Amino acid sequence: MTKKNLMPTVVLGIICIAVAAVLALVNGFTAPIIETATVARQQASLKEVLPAATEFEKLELDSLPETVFEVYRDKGGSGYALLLSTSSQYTSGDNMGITVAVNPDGEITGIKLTTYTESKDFGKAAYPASYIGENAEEVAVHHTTAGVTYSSKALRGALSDALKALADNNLLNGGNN
Amino acid sequence: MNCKKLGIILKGIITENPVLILVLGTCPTLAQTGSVISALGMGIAATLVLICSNAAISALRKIIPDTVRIPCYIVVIAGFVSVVQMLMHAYLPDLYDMMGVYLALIVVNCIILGRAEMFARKNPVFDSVLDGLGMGLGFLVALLLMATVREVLGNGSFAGMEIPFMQSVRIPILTQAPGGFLVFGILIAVMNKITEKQGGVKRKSFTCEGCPQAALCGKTSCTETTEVTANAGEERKDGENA
Repeated sequence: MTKKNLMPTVVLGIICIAVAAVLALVNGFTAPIIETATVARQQASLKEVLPAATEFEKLELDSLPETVFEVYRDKGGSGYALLLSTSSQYTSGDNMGITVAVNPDGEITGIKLTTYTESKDFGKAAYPASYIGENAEEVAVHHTTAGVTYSSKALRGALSDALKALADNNLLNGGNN
Repeated sequence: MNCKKLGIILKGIITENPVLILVLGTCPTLAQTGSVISALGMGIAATLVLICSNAAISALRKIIPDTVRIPCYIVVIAGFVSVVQMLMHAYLPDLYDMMGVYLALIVVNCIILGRAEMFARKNPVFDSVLDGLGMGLGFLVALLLMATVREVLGNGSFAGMEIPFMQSVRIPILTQAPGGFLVFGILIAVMNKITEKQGGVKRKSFTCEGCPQAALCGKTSCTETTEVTANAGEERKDGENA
């Protein structure tokens, strides 16, 4: 490789390394702040979707689907709150964060989008709220939204996973809880 | 600050406003002007990236080889956008959520790459910073102007605060995509009218500095072909007369 060809490669490489170093530095002090804010927002959303809850207890369950990352039970017995994270094939930013409340009969009683960075708004409150009162069978055939089909399908899939996770772990009425 | 330096800033705000005169950065302009708050966020974020990337590219202009200048600019711009994104996510999470994917899309905003290619790589650091500031402020002013019209008339509110007497006369389509195009077109027409009256900005007076196609085009002005054709026509006419 001649010096003429080598120089551009070296310069571009050095710029990439320098930019990566700056990003690592900034990420070093912003990541903990972002993490703390995200956890606080998720915890606040638990109370929002399940207002009747007195105290939440985190459940350690085996074999949760990929979309379900935390499950909480209300010690007062009003139901469960699950933290979900999903993405569609067009998700370009953060994953879609969802907090959903399910009563012991397996019906959705509350839902909130905690993160949604897609370019197209599918009614951050209105569309998710249309799942309230539905059980696993009804969620599976719930309508999607035109223009945001992939995001609404991803949301529906995550909700189905949540209800399946509770059923598989015998946490709903009719199971061996 | 002398007049020349001030002129660099004012050029970006008024005579070569990137949105209303050069019609660059149309995507974020249409997408982020539904509310004043998101327009302000986008304008400030883009201004910061413009200033920093112009400064960095100007400082590196003698080091970056011509053959890899575009990849180098993209890496630098993407780096600054990611920094702004991380800072906004950490300290302004509500605004970060509101801006969604458009924050990351600043990387491909043609105002930023255009200024890097046309100004920062040919001028010293301080002038490039002023150019970034002027263009950024021009972008911010245009966004705020458009967002104010769309939010006040379309939603009956300003920066999220309801205006009571506007609620009954609001025009909801202005907050939607068609309303965005409509307001954008009207603002460009108003800007053309104002600048035409003042006689300050004429299409002929444009340099190619703000045009991302300039490197491929090879002309010195957009009217060059027309003038050549017109001259050729006159010459032919003269010849016929003779």
